[in-house]
Amino acid sequence: MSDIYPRISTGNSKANEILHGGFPANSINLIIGQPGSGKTVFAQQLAFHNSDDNHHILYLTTMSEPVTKVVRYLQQFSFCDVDKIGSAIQYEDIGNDLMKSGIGVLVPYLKEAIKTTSPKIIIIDSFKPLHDLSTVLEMRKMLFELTGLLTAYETTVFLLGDYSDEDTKTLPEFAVVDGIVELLRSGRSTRDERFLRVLKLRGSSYIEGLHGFRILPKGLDIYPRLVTPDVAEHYVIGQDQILTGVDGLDKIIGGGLRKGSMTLVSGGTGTGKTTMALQFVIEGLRHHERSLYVNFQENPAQLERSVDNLCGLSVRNLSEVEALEVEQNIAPGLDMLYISPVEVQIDSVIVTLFRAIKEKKIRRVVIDSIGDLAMAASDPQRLHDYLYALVQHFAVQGVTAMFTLETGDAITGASTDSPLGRISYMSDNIFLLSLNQELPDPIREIKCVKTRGSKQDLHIHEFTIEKDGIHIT
Amino acid sequence: MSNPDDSQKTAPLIMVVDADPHVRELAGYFLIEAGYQVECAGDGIEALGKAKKNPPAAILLELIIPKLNGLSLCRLLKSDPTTRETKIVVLSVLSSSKGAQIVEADAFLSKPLEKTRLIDAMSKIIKPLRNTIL
Repeated sequence: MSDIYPRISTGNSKANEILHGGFPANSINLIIGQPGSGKTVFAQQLAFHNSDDNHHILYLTTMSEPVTKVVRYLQQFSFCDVDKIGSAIQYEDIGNDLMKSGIGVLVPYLKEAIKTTSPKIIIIDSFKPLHDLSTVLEMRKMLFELTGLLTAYETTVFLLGDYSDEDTKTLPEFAVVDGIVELLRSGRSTRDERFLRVLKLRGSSYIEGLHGFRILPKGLDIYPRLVTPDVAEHYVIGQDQILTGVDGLDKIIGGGLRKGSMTLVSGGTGTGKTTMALQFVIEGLRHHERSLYVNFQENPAQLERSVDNLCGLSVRNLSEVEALEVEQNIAPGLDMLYISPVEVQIDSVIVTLFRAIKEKKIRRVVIDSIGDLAMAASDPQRLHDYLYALVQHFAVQGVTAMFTLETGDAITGASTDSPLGRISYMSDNIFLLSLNQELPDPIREIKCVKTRGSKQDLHIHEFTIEKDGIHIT
Repeated sequence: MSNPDDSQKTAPLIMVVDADPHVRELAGYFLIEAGYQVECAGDGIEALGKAKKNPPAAILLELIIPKLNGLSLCRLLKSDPTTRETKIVVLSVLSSSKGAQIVEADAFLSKPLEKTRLIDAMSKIIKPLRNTIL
């Protein structure tokens, strides 16, 4: 779709990414969602970003919240510039006029505002209560007048409202607006998950689906849904091989892992998955390949000790923010990103991971473990889609990945019903680690269940875990 | 549309021709504010009749208008000695200026209407009575 329309930035780079640049200028848009879903924050962030001495914004409150309340709570956000309030951004309350004279006052009010201040953006917060003051016919007539006026003059309009699903099918504003953005909130365990979704955007393409977000002091922190890269309909693994760093493993898999491949290391508790994954990233450091270890379970200090025992290399524990910082000089050492399993929100994890890999030029990555991500995913299909997109991105960018998965027989049993079962299809290599307790002296065993692109050694191999890591015999 | 200020009687007359009443009202308001006299017409036939009766200095014209389209209206105006000198400023929903070139318009503006662009374009072609624009 060719883009002939100038755009109005949302003031949020990630929302712009989803909207492929922002809202088309001179459009009329609905921002819908339940109370507390973030509509007002979204609209205010947009207003502050687009306002200056030559670009006035009109923010009208109606009958939901008085303007004083809106302005009071607005000031806790870092995007709020108090100097703009009352000058570049005009806050006005027409609740009393509406209640006194009905919805007929709105169009003349806006027409007068256009004549006197010519606002570049008009926000009406909230539009939905106007239905309570009118008949269906009156509302339709007013909407006809309103859209006519707002189409005639160069201004971009945002109507906010807490509409129900039924409203979206029946209320006339949904048919006449050019864009609809929905903010959703769904409870999961003891915390809420928030999503942004574009339902309609005339004259523009956009990224479909649910995009996770959080409300932070800086405004909405949005994680655009990861989509499969355009360049790789079929991902092709490179022919170059890289060493795993695990004594004896490279020999079993024909010399090493293909660059850009994804390897799944599966096994029960204490079978050596984390040790193998650590050796994999440590080997990367030995070859001056930037490596990232993402961990949801083990205490960072504990992992730091493990790394020190294995190789004596230093570890940097990154926060989510640090993981996204672009560094000019890459310092030696292993980057670790620890995210508490309690706070795992799949959208933020995947997007943070993807951006960190891209911006820090990571060549090897470990996710320990995929099961923790699955626990955080309210929608199994969503987890599958994310992982698929992530694996595709890795292949395109030549990032070699290792995912661990604590499991019994899910993989070897070839259960494809669950998203974790389907991970086996995405994996280029699968190693199954186990503890054979049928022998008088239990032994550790590794079996290579799948190797894509090289000769498969189907034998079960015994291995030991020493101070310096795994040794396969 | 009448001008409340008598001092504007000698101000240049602009005719706003558009089927959209909002455009007529808003453009008319901005033009009067800038120092012009304004007359409005909602279709081509009405515009032609009014222009012949009282030739305007300029016409702000949407090409897509009922009864007589903008292209035909311009041809008729150019062929009539009383309106031949009337300037044409096209303000159209058509994003291409091709139509404006065909009617040999003096300026082309794409919709939606915007106050600054309108007055800038018009004042380059016909000076308003006052220079207190915007």
